[in-house]
Amino acid sequence: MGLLRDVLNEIVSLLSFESPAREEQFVLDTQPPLPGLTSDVPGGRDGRGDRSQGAGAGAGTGPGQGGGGGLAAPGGRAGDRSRATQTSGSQNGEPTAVSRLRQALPRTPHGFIRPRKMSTVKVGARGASGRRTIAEETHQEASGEISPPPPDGTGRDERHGQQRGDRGRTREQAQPQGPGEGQEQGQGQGQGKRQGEEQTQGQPQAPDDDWNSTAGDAGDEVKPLAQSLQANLDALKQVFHYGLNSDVIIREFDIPTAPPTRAAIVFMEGLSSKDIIDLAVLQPLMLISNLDRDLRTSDVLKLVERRLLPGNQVTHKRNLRGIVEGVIAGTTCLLVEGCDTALEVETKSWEHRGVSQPTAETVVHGPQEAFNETLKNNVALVRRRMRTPDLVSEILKVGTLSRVDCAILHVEGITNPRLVAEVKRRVSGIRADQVQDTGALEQFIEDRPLVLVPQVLSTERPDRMAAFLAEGHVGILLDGSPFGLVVPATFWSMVHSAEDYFLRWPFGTFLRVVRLLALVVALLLPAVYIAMTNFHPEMIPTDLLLAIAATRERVPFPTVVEVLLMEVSFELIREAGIRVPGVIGPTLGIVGALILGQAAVAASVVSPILVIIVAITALGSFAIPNFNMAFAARLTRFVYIFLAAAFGFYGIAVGVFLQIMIYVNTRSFGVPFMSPVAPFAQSSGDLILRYPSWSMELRPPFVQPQRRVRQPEVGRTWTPSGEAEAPAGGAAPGRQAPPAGGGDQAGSPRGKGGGGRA
Amino acid sequence: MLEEGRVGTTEAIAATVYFLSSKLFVSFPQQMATVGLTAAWIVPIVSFGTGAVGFLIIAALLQRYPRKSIVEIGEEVAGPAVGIAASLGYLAFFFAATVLVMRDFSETVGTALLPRTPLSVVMLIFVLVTLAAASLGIEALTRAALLAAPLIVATLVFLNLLSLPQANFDALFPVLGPGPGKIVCHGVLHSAVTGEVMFLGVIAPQLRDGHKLRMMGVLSIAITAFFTSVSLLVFVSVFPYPFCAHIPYPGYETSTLIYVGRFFQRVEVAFVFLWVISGCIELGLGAYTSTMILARMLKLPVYRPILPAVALLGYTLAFVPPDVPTATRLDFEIVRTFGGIAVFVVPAVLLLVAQVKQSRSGRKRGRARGT
Repeated sequence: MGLLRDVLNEIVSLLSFESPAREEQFVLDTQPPLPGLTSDVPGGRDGRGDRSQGAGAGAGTGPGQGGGGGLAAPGGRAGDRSRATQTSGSQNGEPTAVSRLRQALPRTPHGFIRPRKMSTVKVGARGASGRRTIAEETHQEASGEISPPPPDGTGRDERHGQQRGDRGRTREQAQPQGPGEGQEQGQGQGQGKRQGEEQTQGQPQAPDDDWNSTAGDAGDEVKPLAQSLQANLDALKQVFHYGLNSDVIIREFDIPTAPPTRAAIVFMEGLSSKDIIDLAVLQPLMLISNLDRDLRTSDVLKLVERRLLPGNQVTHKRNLRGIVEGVIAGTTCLLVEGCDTALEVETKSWEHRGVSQPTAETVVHGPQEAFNETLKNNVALVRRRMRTPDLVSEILKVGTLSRVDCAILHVEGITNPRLVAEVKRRVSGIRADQVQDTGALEQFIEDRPLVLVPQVLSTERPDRMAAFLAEGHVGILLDGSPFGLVVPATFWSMVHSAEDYFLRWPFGTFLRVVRLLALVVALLLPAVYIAMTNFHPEMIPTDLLLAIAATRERVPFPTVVEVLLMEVSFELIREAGIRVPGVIGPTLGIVGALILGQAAVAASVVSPILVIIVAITALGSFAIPNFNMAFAARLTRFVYIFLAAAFGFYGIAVGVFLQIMIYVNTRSFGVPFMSPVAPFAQSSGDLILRYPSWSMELRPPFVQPQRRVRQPEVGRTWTPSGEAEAPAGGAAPGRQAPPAGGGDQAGSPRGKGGGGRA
Repeated sequence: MLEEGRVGTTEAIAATVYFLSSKLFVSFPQQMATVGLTAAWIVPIVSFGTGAVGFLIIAALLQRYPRKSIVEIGEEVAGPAVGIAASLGYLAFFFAATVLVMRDFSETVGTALLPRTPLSVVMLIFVLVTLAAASLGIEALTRAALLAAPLIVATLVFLNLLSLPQANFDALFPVLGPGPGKIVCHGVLHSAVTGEVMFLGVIAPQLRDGHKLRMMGVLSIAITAFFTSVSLLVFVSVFPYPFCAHIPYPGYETSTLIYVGRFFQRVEVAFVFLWVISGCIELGLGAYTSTMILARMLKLPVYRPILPAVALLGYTLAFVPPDVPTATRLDFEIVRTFGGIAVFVVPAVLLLVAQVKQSRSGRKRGRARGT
């Protein structure tokens, strides 16, 4: 019913009786000049930005409905509705059915549904307690009372932090995730402001937990640690269901002071390295006995941190939630008697797949490594190709149950900060219990969920992601997913392949033309066959017509049934080929392709010409490099088959027109999907024709990069003409000079660094 | 929102070219051949030239009132009553032209592709598609026009090139056909064949580069004039004057004659396929423009709610002409003859009034300073 409602909603909105919703969309168009990066709609974009800030946690669905307007931004209208349903706490102060249900569900301080125990407090109580309700907040944002976040995208979370800080409650700012990502800034800093607040910096804050917390447990979720070790351990045992949950290990021991100081470590078996824990945590702590007995407890902790924990990353945690999040991420927490601060030692280690070859984006020439399921590895794979300190990887948490790390990658100084902020806004606005893969993440952040064509580019190749980042796109990696996302995506990027850039330019261009042809074939060939045989046989040369007629003479079905029969059979073979165990996979191919096809022709169920048509269509479908785009083509093909069966070429023409209209009306993160053709903008030489690497001097205009020029006009400086033409320093305005001799600019296969005139 | 969507220069030119040239695929060449005889290809040059002058007047008026459409300008210059009357004229022109072109396209499709399908069904599909396209807004429409521009150019180029073997250029003589006087007379009289260029005046507030309005209009007219003239030259040389004047769809008939070897023949369906796409774009633009004029005239904040009503009205009115010749005659003898008054003369009068008003107010100000 929900889907049906969304479909109806989309149809209505396509007919656009709700036109104001269109104004809410984030727009990153190609036309406005870069300085200021302002809207092309007078007074529109900024206002839009302000209102859309409410999208993450706002309530209401209708524009002008007390904050409802703030919801309309990212996910298209249908997405907005679903998000509104998910996120709404109340409208006009009245709890909605969803919010009431949510309040009725007891949750742990960390958002996990636990057996009934904790009390719930109504939304109104949150407002009364001084913390603004979601509706209030969204209303204020929509009415412009709250300024939009700064480009670093931290504004919204900062506000929440400030509010909570004002109430004197502790609140964790962020979680350190990986090596070098969470750097402790010192204990003293900011303590006067917010007692017990985490001082870890370097990352944006985890998504707000408004979705899964209630006012009643808001106090518990950031409950400060007690001085008593036993009290802390009891609280942790309760949270972790200790005893029932066999993976949680709590190891109590004594630090050999005189008298001995009680301590304990908490970690999750399977996620942490036993070797590191034994050798770098327990061994130094248990075997060192020269601590001064007169030391105060805080000094003990300081001494332990500075002298006894050889781990390369140690951070302070002052509340339960910080400890819990660290432990479930694989770190080890050390609690010491008499200390209200725990030390979190980086011990993450779990079994994972090594870097292997790409399976969906294979190339003949070029790197042969693909992302795997480990976020740290994936970020490192990209970073290895972009050895610039400007490559920034920000971590957000996604999913209230899964709470997986999501890395937002961009190149500072190149990527449009508004684009980065928009990506972070959408990702942090996801309200779902689990997001396991980028395939699911993509559905939460795309602009128009009901349009078949993908609006986010998915890739498993680090080199491709690095190339897009160098152009000014934003990359998204999700822990546990071997695919990364690149936004914004355009239609043209769907027919590009990584290999295009590794081949000489005529070959790359030729391949792109072939792929475009493949897309047309995959979409239209069966429909054209139906239209020609049923409506316009005069188009077919006489000899061919006679041949087709002869083969169809004994076939009892009309052409459209014949085509549908073969198409459905082929879909079955394809699906079975994926699901079948690998050992008998080749057998299935033989059975499907040879026996079934041959037998069908011999039995006069289908004509041989149709087998050829379906086979060519399948080849066209396989030649589309983007899996989601190929899927869209597969589904759209059936629409064309029905249109052709009903109205012949007229139906196909109308279908093509509608498809064009849908494509030009689609946006990917505010960027028109058919950019830079429609709307027209100067091409970066990377559309259908691929310019030689040395003449691809500009970044794509549609992402509005901060630096448009990617390489100087004369890059092949070693040629006589290049030496004559190269300016002193060899750099174009607004860009640093690439390494002489065409060094690989930022490791990008697109930025071959050193274009020039031969 | 009436101001919704922004249109770039290239998109505006592409859309205007589509708007002006799509009728080339239906009965427009026949009408030209009827009045221009062997000089059918010269008449549009005169018409488009006159239209360009008319557009320069419109552009001058529009540039006096930046970020305003021709509808609002009319009301501001001449008061609400005259302004509404002027807008009704624009509306009548666009609506009638769109309805008749839809009828023409539907008849073409019925003749070429679906001879056994009722006209009402063919037209209903056109109406539904037009409704969907217009509701997506001007941004989508103009971008679709730009995206499909290579198709239309390729169609015209291939059609003209592949028809050349059938052409007999002796049929172009006498070059001046009925004589220069009549050519100029017919050209000027039927200058409303470029009336669709007023579309730029309706979407003027949505143009990104309003200051390039003059260039957009003139360039669109020039491109269309070139393709129209060349195509008519080919049509008239393939079907000499007496035949061309009696063939309802010369473009389609020309495409049926294409024969490039035994394999490449009877490709008219492929051309009609592309013409349907351009027809959809033109109809979408026509529906959008008509609805926008109406919405601006009625001071409505949105245009989409009245779109279905306009579409239904158009669908009904398209059946009023009993047959194709009547529809063609209505289009050429009424809409394209008197339409010029609405789209070119009225703006010229408005410009004059604006000029007089401005000079009067200047004088008043001067007097006030003097005293």
